[in-house]
Amino acid sequence: MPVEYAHALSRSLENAANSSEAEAHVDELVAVLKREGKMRALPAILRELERLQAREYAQKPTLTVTKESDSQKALKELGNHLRSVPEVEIQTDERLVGGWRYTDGDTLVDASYKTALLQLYRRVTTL
Amino acid sequence: MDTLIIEKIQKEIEKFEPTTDLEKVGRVVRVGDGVAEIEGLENAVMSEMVLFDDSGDKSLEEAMSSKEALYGLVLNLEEDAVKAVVLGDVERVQEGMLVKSTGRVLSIPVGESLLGRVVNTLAEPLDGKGPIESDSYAPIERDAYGVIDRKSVDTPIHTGIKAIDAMVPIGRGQRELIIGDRFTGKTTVAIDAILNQKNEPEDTRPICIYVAVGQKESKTARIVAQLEEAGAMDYTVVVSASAAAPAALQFLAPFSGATIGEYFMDRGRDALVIYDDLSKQAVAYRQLSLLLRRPPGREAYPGDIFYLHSRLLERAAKLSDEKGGGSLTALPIIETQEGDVSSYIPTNVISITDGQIFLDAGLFNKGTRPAIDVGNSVSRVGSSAQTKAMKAVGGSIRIELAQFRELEAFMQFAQDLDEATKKRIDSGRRMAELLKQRNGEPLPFEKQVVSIYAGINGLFAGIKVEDVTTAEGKWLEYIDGQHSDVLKEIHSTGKLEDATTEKIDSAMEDFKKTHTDLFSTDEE
Repeated sequence: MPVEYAHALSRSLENAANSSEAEAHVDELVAVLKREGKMRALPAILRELERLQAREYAQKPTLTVTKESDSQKALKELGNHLRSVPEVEIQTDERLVGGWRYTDGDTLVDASYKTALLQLYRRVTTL
Repeated sequence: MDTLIIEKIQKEIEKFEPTTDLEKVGRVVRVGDGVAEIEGLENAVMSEMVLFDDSGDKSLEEAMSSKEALYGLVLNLEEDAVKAVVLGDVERVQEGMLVKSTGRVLSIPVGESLLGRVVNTLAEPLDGKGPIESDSYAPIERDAYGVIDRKSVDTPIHTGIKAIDAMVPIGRGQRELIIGDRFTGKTTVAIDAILNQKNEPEDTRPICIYVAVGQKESKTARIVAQLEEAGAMDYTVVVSASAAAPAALQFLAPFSGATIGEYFMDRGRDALVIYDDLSKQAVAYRQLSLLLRRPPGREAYPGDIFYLHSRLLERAAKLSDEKGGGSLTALPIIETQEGDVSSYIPTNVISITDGQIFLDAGLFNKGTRPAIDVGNSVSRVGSSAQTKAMKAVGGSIRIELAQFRELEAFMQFAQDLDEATKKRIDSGRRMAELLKQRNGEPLPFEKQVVSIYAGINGLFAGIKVEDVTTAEGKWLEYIDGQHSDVLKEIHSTGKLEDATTEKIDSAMEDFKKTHTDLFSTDEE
């Protein structure tokens, strides 16, 4: 039940024109919960909402590189894989060892040294 | 380090090309009880393998030290998500983890390299004897052969158990169910069938696959040790999904066993697969289905529980000569509760198979082992799966035993019995005693023929009932020592010619003369 409420509230907030309309949606939800005696579900609804927001954030186009200075080169290489490169958020992660990694919702292009080395390692250790 | 290995590694590095293709991925949104809910993967297909990428949040060193790749099997395609059962340690799966589509259905390595090995459902080794090297992979779910590609079952597969080979004969390509309560000797019958294949010539010996579903690992280890000691592991593969394995692996294990057997069948060879047991597979499938929120039906089993077993067992077949003439024989095992063969899963499987061997707990406790209830056991293939020799001696036993069981019950109430009835009871008792057999001691079919022939022709008539087994042992020793040509003849021709029966009759007379100590006044 909290999951359904959270999903419904999330959809309403997406369609809200401004912050006061968004607040009105939240007030309506609280009123419904009070009327049905389900106020205890509010923390669970909030947790689910946070989870949904985190999921949405993860779905944004993200380009991960080992250092900032590699981002231009990475963007150029990314262009070879995508018809058009969207506006990406650049993140750094030294654990990639080198190269870059692009995620966009359900799309992944992984040109990181870490993945390549891991593939090689797994192949060699099964000999 | 071995220079050969170093060279191999160098070659792998030289030819290695990292892939940077565009991949379709999903993310785990929920995981629990062995099932992961994945968002994304819009192009996922049913039974597709997916790869859980647990290296995302780890450094290279951490990723290298973690275990092998973790796969999942897609079983539910829903509107907003895909549900996959985790084929491994579910604790490695975390919310937010990337999941990659592999584009292939679940496949396992197959081939000769599996012989002598103990593997899990995914054909990964469990015996510590090194990796399985195979060039061939086969999907574990496959359509069964159609009618046109099949041939009638016409060749016997001998279990080495007199009661079965004489009265409930099994043919290559048949499905014969072994059904009974717990601890009635079901697994023993199956293992004896594997052990007896050692008596077959190598070119016609079936490859045996024993699938242990939901069993205790100690029991599987004991079985493997028994097979190794008897030299049977050379032609056997053991697939183990123990009670500690995830429900997904337990439900898939019989399909893996069938896939391994089909490799040999497709190449014109015979294979025997034992599913021990399908009751546990049904329970594992029920657990998975409930976790996948599929609507429960009778006894909370999902609606397609019949299809689970029917599609598995249909893969057993005797192929036509055009298809190579190979066969896959299935011996599924079902455990009943309190002897109830009319409950849901047993009736399902009975209706699918080509006969059943019913093991009765009452007979077992009385010392009749194997505890085969002849009245409730049947082979729908029947004498088509018997050699002429066995047909000649086995024909009358079933009726005689059935009549004996009726008279045995009648005897408890009646006081004065006529001579004919007494004689029939006497003969029946000896026949029942003759059909007893120790576990782990399967008999080649030619010895079975000679033993039963002697029984129905009165060799053991003058012997105390409790000494029949000993006398039979001595008789077989005698025949093996003094008249081994008789056994060779029956083995090579499969027939009981007149000349052969004359030799056996003569041998019986000689046996009586040389073993007078065995023949004493019979006690009522």
